[in-house]
Amino acid sequence: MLDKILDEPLSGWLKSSDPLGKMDSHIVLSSRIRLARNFKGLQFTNRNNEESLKKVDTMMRGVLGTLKAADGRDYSNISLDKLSDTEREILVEKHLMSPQMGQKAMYRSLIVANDASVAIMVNEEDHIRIQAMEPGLKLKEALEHAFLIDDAIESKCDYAFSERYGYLTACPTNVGTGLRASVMLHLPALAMTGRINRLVRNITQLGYSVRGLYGEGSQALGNIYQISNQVTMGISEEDTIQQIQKVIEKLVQEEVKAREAIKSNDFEAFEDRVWRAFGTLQYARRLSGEEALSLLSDVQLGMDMGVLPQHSADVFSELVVTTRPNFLSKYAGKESMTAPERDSYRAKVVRDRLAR
Amino acid sequence: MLCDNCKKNEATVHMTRVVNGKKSERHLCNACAKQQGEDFGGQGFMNFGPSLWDNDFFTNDFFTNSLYPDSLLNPRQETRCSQCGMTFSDFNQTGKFGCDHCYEAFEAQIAPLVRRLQGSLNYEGRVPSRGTGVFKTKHQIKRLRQELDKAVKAEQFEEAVRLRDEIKSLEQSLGNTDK
Repeated sequence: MLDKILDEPLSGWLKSSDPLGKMDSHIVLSSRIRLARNFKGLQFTNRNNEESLKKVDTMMRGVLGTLKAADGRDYSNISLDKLSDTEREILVEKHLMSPQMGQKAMYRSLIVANDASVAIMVNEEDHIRIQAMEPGLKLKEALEHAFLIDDAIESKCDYAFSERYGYLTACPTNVGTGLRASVMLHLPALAMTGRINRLVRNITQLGYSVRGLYGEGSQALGNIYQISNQVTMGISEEDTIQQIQKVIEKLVQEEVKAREAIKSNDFEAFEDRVWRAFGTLQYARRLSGEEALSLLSDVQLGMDMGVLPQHSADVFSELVVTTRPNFLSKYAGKESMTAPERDSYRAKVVRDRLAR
Repeated sequence: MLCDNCKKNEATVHMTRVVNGKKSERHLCNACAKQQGEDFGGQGFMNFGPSLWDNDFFTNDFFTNSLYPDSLLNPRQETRCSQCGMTFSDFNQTGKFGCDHCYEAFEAQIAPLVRRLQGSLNYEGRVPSRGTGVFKTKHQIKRLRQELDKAVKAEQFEEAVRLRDEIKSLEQSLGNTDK
């Protein structure tokens, strides 16, 4: 199970569900719901109280069967301290857990469904963080799935809950619903036309956070953005996702508009750019991670807009994961690689994938 | 040096207190110090008791509880969460609470903080089904009332009647549990 998760480039929820050639099919990459929960009477993880950490760990090891009964999936518990640094980083690169979770600490584990549609972080900032993921814009489905898991765990364990504040969390920015709904988007045309900066500012003012590929503080590598809600109090879970859905739909419209604008504006310059990107990816002998992502973004846009020959629907999402440094090491079967070795191996992986 | 209080006996207890950056010193004799200790809520300021020569003589607990009560040294004594031992200044440093009970222990500070961060103090989300049945029902009634308003505005009267009946029966069930 662990090997499958570590070796497979794409979790189910990152695989495209839409047919090829639809203009907006590759704009929204995935939807994610995260529920922060803590247990009653135990110290939060930041207190580093071994007894509490251990209790949480034991409790969560006990619920695997309950989870299966709830949604019919097989669940496994991966103890993070048994993994190598590279293996932990791969789980981060695959968006199954947060970068904080990649740091070594006692009694941390990840509970994953066999299709990776649910991943529960145990003993991260909160006792548990339930994550449910779906491909495309499917927040509602993800929320329903997360609630199923939430109810299953609640039937066995007592949550820290107050009538006044809702679900009690370590950080007061999560208290209330503990819900973070986030959507990953690929917005290359908005980036190319420079409109993205103003949109990001507007969205931020509306109370949403906009982040790069790997969450807090990361840059928008490969023109991939994550939009998520910030408020968890005074609004229900359903209303939260409804509102963010509207913001995302608006962004998708803007991206489609920007793509139309590219078409009516020196189209040859655009064609030149994406063909060059395609050429580089096909023939380069060394690629840095950043260069690979930026070229891949151009190539995906070229495919979406019918300039480049269609490849399989998932080539972009797949290579975004396989070209990340730790995944690459694992792929190459070498835990430690020098930077030139890695760049050379990355170029080979991309070439092989595009030749298929 | 004579005692500041009775000016008769030799001062044996010396206290320095800093209030808002101002330092003041007091020198008292045994008897006066004991009496003053009792004035401070009877915390046994000079009440050495059997633990005097224990190992914990030099631990903070000894000094804060017995020789130098917090109320003397630090007039704005900080509340501590009884479950995890965290103080609000600890929270200010890390930005994270120590346990679920902190939300009760620091209620006074948390309410304004959450309002500032979240723009609201009204919890609207789901409720665990265990234990808090009454709250859950109240919440459901609130929800249904909102839906009822919507239905009436949209002139969906059949739906409105259905919602009204549902609210009524929930309210009755609440009435029963209250008794």
